[in-house]
Amino acid sequence: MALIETHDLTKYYGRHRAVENVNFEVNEGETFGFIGPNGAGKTTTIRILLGLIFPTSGQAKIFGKDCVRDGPQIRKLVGYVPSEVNYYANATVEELLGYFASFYKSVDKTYMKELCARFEIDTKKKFRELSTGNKKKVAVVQALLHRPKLLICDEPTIGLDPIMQNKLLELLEELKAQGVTIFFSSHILNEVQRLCDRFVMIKEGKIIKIESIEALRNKNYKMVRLQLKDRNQLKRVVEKFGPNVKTKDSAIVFEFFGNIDQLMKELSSLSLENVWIEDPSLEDFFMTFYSEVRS
Amino acid sequence: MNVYSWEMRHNMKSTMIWTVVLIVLLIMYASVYPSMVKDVELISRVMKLMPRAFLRIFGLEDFDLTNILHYLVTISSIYVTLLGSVFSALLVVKLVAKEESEKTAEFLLSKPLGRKSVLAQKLLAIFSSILMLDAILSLASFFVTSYFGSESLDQSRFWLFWASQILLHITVSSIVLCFICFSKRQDSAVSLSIGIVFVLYVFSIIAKLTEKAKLLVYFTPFYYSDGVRIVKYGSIEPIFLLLHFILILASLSVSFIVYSRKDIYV
Repeated sequence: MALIETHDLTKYYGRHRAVENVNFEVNEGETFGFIGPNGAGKTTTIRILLGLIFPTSGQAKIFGKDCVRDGPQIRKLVGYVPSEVNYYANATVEELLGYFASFYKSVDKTYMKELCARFEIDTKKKFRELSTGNKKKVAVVQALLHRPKLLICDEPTIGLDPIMQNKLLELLEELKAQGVTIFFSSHILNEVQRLCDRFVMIKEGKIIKIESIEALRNKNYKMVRLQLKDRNQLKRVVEKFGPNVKTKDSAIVFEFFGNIDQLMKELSSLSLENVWIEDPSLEDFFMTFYSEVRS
Repeated sequence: MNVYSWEMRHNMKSTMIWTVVLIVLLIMYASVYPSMVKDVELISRVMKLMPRAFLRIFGLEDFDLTNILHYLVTISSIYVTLLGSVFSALLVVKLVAKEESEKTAEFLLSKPLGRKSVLAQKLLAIFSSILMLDAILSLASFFVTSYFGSESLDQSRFWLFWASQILLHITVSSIVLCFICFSKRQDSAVSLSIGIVFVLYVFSIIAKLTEKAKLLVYFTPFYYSDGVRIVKYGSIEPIFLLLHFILILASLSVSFIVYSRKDIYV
């Protein structure tokens, strides 16, 4: 069953287009990545799902219910981790947690305490005294304390230190194992690769591609940069690695798809001054994907 | 009712501060009263020298300053009528507009509570705070008046005056709420709300000042609840009472409709 479905979802801010004809489905129990550059419309889509803003046209449904009409009912079973956390600054974390819990019928207080302990949250502090990372942790507890069926995360690891990032990702993996559906917006390819079953790419308000993460793994290419001892070898490089070889300053750059062993063998036949083999950044990855879709 | 109790708990302090400040102002004004009664002849002579327009603004034209109720109502037109309305307007800003300008709406409105229910609970908290301020202030005013006044107090007029002020504060907060619901961004909500209060207040002054602007009396709740007039005649004209209720009802229904369909940008 599709837990989230959008049909030609479109939102204009005045004349400015935020998202246009967005269509995707998220299945129950699935972890679904939502990736794209800044301003692509990720947050807009999430806000429509949460009922904070209303679509210009099209429809979004969660649990088969309409996000505009049945918002309160839907939100009983949804947890939301915002990318930027803003709560009442003068309240203590303890007060805030009490307030968060008061919106739901039954909240397991021991589970809440467990979560706080896990993220090492100091509940006596006022919210305004917390660092960005600690605020985020409070937001994570807030999103989980009522044991939601669907968790919507808008760049949840931003602002957390690597240890906490890892803790959060571990927690998300646990939730996934428990059957919680996770809608996960991110900039960071690693996270998406680690957690998600499928992902959707959005750019300039439009969905570019929906893929399974398996396909992403298969597209697991490397960015290769070489410095040759002898410039005359350039021809051989082009013969070996195809036409997308570019020269950049004194180096030669290309993307390598396929077997790493193969790559190493080919490289060993060249006389090299220097070599870099790197994973593509999301940006590189995105550009490759994008041009692929267009062509 | 969780939003209501949260708001009440977190706004109690500021409501109490406002109440205390207004009571101090009241005592300050009232403590001058005995000395004014002593020099009543001098004062009425001075008053005769003042321009009529000036007297009319403050409703002093044919006012008996030896009567403490008249005195109280005259000075109240500044501190209860105007400052009380500013308090009501700022309350709306704090409870409704701030939720958007400080981006906490993102949290509140993504909880399983409909927009209408959120607004209704907030409105209830606003009205409760207004009632609390006015109730304490009117009691304080009652004791102060009994303490400083030489003759007995006309109680029915006294309480009618306070009822008119409560109604005024409710109307002002409803109007401000309506404007806030309409505005897309809440960055200037404070100046907007105070602006509305002062414009309406100035309308009532102009209306009192010249016959030409007579129509203006219908456009400002400050005139409906003009304390000086109410104490003078001992009643609120039914038309103004009706206008109060129409304004409240209209503002609130529009607010609820707009708020429940509004995009929240945070």
